[in-house]
Amino acid sequence: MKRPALSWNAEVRLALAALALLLAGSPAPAQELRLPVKDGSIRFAVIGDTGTGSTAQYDVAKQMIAFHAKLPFEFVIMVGDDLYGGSSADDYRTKFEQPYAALLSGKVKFYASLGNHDNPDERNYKDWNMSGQRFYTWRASPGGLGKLDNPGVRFFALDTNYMDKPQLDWVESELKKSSSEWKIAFFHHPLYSSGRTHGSSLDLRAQLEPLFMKYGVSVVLTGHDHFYERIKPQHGIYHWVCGAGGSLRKGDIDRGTGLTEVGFDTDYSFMLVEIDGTDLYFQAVSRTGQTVDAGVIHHEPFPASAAPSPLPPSPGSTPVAPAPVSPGPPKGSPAPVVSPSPSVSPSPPASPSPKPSPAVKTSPTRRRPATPRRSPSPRPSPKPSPTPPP
Amino acid sequence: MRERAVLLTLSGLLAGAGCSATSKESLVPPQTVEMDAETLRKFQHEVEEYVELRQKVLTKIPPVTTKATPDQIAAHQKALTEAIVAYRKGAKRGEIFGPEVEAAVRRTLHRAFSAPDGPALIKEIKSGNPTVEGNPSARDPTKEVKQPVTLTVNTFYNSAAPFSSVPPSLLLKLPLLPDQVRYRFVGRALILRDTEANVILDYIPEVVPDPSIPR
Repeated sequence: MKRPALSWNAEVRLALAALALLLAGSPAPAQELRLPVKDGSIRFAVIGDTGTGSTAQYDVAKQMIAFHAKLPFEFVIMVGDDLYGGSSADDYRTKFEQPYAALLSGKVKFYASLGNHDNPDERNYKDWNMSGQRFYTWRASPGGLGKLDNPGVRFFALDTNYMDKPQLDWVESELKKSSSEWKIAFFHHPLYSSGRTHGSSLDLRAQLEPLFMKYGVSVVLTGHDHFYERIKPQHGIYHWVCGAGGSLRKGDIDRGTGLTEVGFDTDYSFMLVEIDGTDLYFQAVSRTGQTVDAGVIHHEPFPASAAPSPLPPSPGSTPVAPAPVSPGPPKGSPAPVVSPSPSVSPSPPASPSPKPSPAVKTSPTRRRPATPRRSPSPRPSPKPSPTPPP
Repeated sequence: MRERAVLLTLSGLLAGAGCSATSKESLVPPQTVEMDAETLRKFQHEVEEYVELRQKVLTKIPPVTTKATPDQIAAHQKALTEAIVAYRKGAKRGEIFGPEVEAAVRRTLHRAFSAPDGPALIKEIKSGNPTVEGNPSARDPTKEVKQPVTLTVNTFYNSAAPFSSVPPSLLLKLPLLPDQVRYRFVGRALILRDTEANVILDYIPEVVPDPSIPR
């Protein structure tokens, strides 16, 4: 029997409807992966401000699942506001377990930190691996989480809702003990952010930044402001705001802060990270699967003598080189990427706390912060690399 | 009024392990509470009494493990909340924040907010403050919906509402609390809240001098 002819418009409509059905019922197709997928690398995703249970959160989750097929990441970092509007059993299901079901069933672990919308008893939730602690640390090593024969990457989950003295003492003690080459801190409130709604948490920065500088934290992952922002390196430390995993404040990035390396505040997003030795590759992906930022930062290995001990070198030792430099925006990035206005000075914002060094990209020495109580100790010297991500 | 700084050694009694004295090498500032020693002792006593009561309650409700399911967490919290509210029935404002404590806390906060960093502190207190901020809507997460918190002693803090930031420099000036209890701001008031039971234990009204923050 001859199929009735359809008009061009009707055929297009049918095709679009079929496509929509396909997309709704299955993971979204992953777009181009910009990470190298190297053997033995440490791979993870970063999400923040997710727990709305909205269609947007589910869309981002679908992209994470689609990218997981290309980059089998082992775990997901959650930078807080994991559940909005309560923490009933139904909230856990609809705002966490259902959207990320495919990842959970694929044995992907989630490591949560608590945001200002999270009830503190969420730390007991089995799938957030917090072991009942509001701040905790663990190590991921190549070849398996926590493998003991490699200093690997150490993560520090902090509770910035309540940064009291016991926690500050703990942060200092744990950072001091760690001999990991990569020390990555993650928590909710950003030390640096161009958010009009919240922006940088200056008081928190005044307490944490001197510790991070002294004890060699390289990367800080945060949320709270509902967008994606990669901050220009501050005192050799890379800061990200990844707060658009399920919430969004459109147009909230203030381009006048001079902090933004790359920002994206027009749609929801998450980030992928792959660490291979001294290289950390990153890729930020939008709800529609577009790459909105990508790059690599480098970290020189610790000197052999310094590796087992994080204590500061003796006075007069070699000055520290600047933090690793990431390349510019990815080639052919199809999504709108906010860049700081060329007319905006890259100098730091007015702040009572340590100020970012404008020399961080080019100077071979690190400047001391303006107001730390003690000068931070030198850290292993990272080298800039013009190498774009693969 | 006679005042002197009472350092961590006193307030640390409440904190237990993990609250080491600041060493010479530490970058972490000391806990410096500007409160008369007797006033601080009274406050600590009230808080300790509450924690003891809470411990008794915990023995009578289903425990929660650190590998709990959502149902177990919810059931534990509900039982804990109901038991604490029942045990403290009739509790009144000022029973933990007694008059001397309240006066000392007001002085401490007034000094902090009047200092050059004061406006920055107030900005951080607004962040997450339930009278200022709401939750992203599930229908449209670019929009926010406020969730009211009733400022009454021994009532449930609306679990749908966010929590205000409490700047670390303020926490270093206020008496240290055990893990079960925390300071928060609701509007312009400082509250004392049970961390997991989600109950407002006491509060001091009008401590944040910013009329732009709704009560």
